[in-house]
Amino acid sequence: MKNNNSYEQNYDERQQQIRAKVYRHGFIAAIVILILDAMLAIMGVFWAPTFFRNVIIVTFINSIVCAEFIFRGVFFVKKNERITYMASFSAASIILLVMLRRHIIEGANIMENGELSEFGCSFVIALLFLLNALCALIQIFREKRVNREESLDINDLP
Amino acid sequence: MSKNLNLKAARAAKDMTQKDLADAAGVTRQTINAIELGEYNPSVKLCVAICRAVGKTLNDLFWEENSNEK
Repeated sequence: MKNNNSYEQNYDERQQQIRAKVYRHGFIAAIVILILDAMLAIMGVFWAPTFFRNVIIVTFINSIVCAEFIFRGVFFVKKNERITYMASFSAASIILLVMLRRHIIEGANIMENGELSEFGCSFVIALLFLLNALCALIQIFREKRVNREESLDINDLP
Repeated sequence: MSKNLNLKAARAAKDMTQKDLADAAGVTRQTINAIELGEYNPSVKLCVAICRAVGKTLNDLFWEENSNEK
């Protein structure tokens, strides 16, 4: 049944339960990743420049949470949202990769002195955007396949 | 949880697709599919909405006879 009191009203009761679980997973993932990052920083291991480190962590957590939402069918409410989402993230990824084309052609290093270079960080973010677009694309094909299957399948009725 | 074949039969008898039933009950097709497969336990409110949509009672669709009952 639809809940009438928030943004969640767009989702039915089963979807709201799944979304709550996914939010919990995202929250736990965020805590684990932030603790790991802090521990690495305390030990003097810096895997990326501070600004990019935070951007990558936020983008990564956002990507995995969105991927879980998408694959569990609780992200998109309307059909064309999938296309818009996929197109937006594809465009963001392509723009970033185009901006980095000179570095890619020159074969610039992703890692420098044991940490991600600026090029490496931007490249990782572009890949995360691409991952989001791919998730939406896979879900579009999955749902097309499911819709082809007969929803009025009565073969196993008593 | 076992498959809810009663629901599937009632839906088929009404010549409804999962999408038709989902629209009538105000949920997604995936939710109806999950209920039929026994993967999701719906709330009483949703059960009532489904019963109304297919013209059956709660007993008809959601009461499971216990094989151990005498």
